[in-house]
Amino acid sequence: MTAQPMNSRQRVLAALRRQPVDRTPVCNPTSVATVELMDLVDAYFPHANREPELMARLAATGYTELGFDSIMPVFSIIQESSALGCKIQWEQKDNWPTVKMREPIWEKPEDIVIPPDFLTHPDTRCVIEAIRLLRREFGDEVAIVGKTMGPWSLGYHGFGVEPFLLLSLDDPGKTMQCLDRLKEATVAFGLAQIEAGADALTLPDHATGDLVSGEYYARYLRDLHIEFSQRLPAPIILHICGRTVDRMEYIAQTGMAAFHFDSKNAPAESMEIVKKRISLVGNLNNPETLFSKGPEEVRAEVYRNLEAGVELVGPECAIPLQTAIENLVEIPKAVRDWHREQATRN
Amino acid sequence: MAQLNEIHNEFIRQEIEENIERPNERQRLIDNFAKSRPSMQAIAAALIEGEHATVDQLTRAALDEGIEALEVMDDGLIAGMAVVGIKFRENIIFVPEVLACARAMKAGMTHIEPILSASGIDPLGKVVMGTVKGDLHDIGKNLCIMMLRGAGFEVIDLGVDTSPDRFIDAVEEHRATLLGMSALLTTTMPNMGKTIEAFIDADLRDQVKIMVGGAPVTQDFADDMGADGYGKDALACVTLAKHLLAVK
Amino acid sequence: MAKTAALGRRVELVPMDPHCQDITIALYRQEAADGPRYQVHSFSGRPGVVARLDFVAGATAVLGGMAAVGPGQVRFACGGAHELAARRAFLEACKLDPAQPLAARPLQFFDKKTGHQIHVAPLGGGVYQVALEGGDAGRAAAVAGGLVKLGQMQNPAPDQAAFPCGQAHDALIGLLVVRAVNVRATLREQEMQAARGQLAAPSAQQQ
Repeated sequence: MTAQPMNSRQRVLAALRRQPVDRTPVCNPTSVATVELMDLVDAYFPHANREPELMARLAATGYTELGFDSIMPVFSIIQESSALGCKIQWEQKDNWPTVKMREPIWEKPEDIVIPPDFLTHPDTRCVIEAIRLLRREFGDEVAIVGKTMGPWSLGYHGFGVEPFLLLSLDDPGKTMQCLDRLKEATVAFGLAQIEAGADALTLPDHATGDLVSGEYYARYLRDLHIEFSQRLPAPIILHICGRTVDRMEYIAQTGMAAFHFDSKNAPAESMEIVKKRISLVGNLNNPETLFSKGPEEVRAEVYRNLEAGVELVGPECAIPLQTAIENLVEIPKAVRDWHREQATRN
Repeated sequence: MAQLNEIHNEFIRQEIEENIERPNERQRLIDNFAKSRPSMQAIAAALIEGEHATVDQLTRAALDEGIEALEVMDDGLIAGMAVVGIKFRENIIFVPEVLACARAMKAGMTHIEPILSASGIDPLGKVVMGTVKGDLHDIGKNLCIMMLRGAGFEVIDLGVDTSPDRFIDAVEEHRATLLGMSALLTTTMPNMGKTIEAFIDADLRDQVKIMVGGAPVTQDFADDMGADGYGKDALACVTLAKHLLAVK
Repeated sequence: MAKTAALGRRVELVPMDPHCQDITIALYRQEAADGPRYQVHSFSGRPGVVARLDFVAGATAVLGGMAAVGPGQVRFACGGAHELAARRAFLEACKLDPAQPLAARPLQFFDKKTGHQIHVAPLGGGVYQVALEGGDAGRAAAVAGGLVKLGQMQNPAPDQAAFPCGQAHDALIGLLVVRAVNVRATLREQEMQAARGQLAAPSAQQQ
């Protein structure tokens, strides 16, 4: 720890680099939007996923109302899939927009084309504009985290989950060709957000242990993730849901700044595997703790992560839209209290 | 009780020996395979390996030979899926492999289903199946549907992200007596309760039995939500469906 | 966030209110010296929201037999929490058409399954007796069991449900009894108890 007080942005960037911080930052690489926050600033889904002013306004509540050290405006995982031509079900206020994966747009690698208007499509431009607005409003006071989807996730969206997984088994060569084409979308969208003012990028790539083996990650994605950490000039926070201890060793080798890990993986065990080669962000349980229980249980999980030495604390994934605000504000409160208790002890 | 060496097919013997640890499951599989024909074991082996072309060819050959469609389905296809289900549960295989096995099962069922339908046997019951609102997962649901159809149920598949109103409309339109809901996300599980509540509000609750399933679902949760039953996997779903509709 | 601290603990949520611009309405529980209170609240500042919250709070009070104690705030006169029942009253209040007259629900209803009327009679001291015309004791016990579960009540006799506070809450009973017939866990317990001691063929036994 450093005695020098830091602002939120400094704190997050230092933690992503595993440098000394004044206290552990509270960071959300994924959405902390809720239906009540939407009411508070009158920025409802689905419009807050499509209009930059609404997107920025809703995202800012993570910092101004909840007390997090970051603002992450890309609530959903479908913005670039929309720009790539996928059909989107935009849903309503209380539900996430989704890709209509039952209506895939690709069947083979040759079908994958990054359209010329990929970055000017309304749904990618919305993100880029929202980041610009947030940077202008908040200056250097808070970390602004963008998001660009990885090629495995884009493969699910464009091919459909089942066809893509079957392809990965039937034809690894074609699967690699798909990933090589899709990675250019990941890089282009990431660069545009950095240029607009993003301090870091979340990169979700759902090769989760609940679907595929650790060997799959090593075979298909590790080298691509190394490439992303080299081509994108900002700290990258890799996000993979579900059980991932069997692939954390590979993830730690990628050179990415941080790994956003799920509550199915114990903090202490995860820290032991990564051995400070990558920062860990997480891993407060969404459905069972943040959504279903109360502030006391939230605090206990925050403490568990802090005691394990996790570098940035936050929810494990995009929080359920009906999560209670009192549980979310408990997170920074618990982090502060823990540090105060530590200081008293030392 | 049969012995492992009474199973004709070497691959099946190896699969049971290497991958099935729970004694009761092991014995049940040994008992079933030991009394099934070698040609049925070959179908099961091909299904476990995800070889859909082989399953297709062997199923056709068995039916051409005069073996009853029900025997091919039970001793070949369903027997193979039982091993797949256990391997998946134990993380020996993952979803891509399960999908390949399901594809193989579907290849076999393409030949079986027309025979069962033409036989004039009445379906055991009508089941409406769907994944709840906000949830897009359907691999487990699709496996359940395949097994239910294989067991003789008529299934209406509503797909994913199914609202309570769509469930109600489908149950009314098809006069289904059983509804199956699946959820893979703990955040969408409450929508099972909302759907059941909608049936109560529509005064239809007593007309349909409701079963729920999905990885995060538990018996306690099913009880709290007001479901009639909970099935922990595709095989249990068939047993539960038969129990709820009081059919054998 | 100072705003949530004053609200208490959120116990129920309607994410999209179809009667008022899809605003989100929540029920918060606050502890007070004379027992818990429930606050109906929305973070929305849109026109018409205040009136809508007033309606919902008023309807919650009528359906739950509660008293209004402040803007959007209600409590049970007995000082008890009855949290599950309060949540149910709130959810039902949010579903109501504001144009329709408000009234507490009656203590009987027609049970489609048996084709008989179910009556719930107050016995005093917060105890209620469930009876079916036609005298189906098993069904009456199932309904009483459902009330116990939904209302966090006690079960002094198989066909009775009692509020721990010892006070009458006729409105709550009327609200809950319609759902009590559908509490599957209770019904399953009844079926299992009835089947105890009966030999079941192996094929009929659940795996």
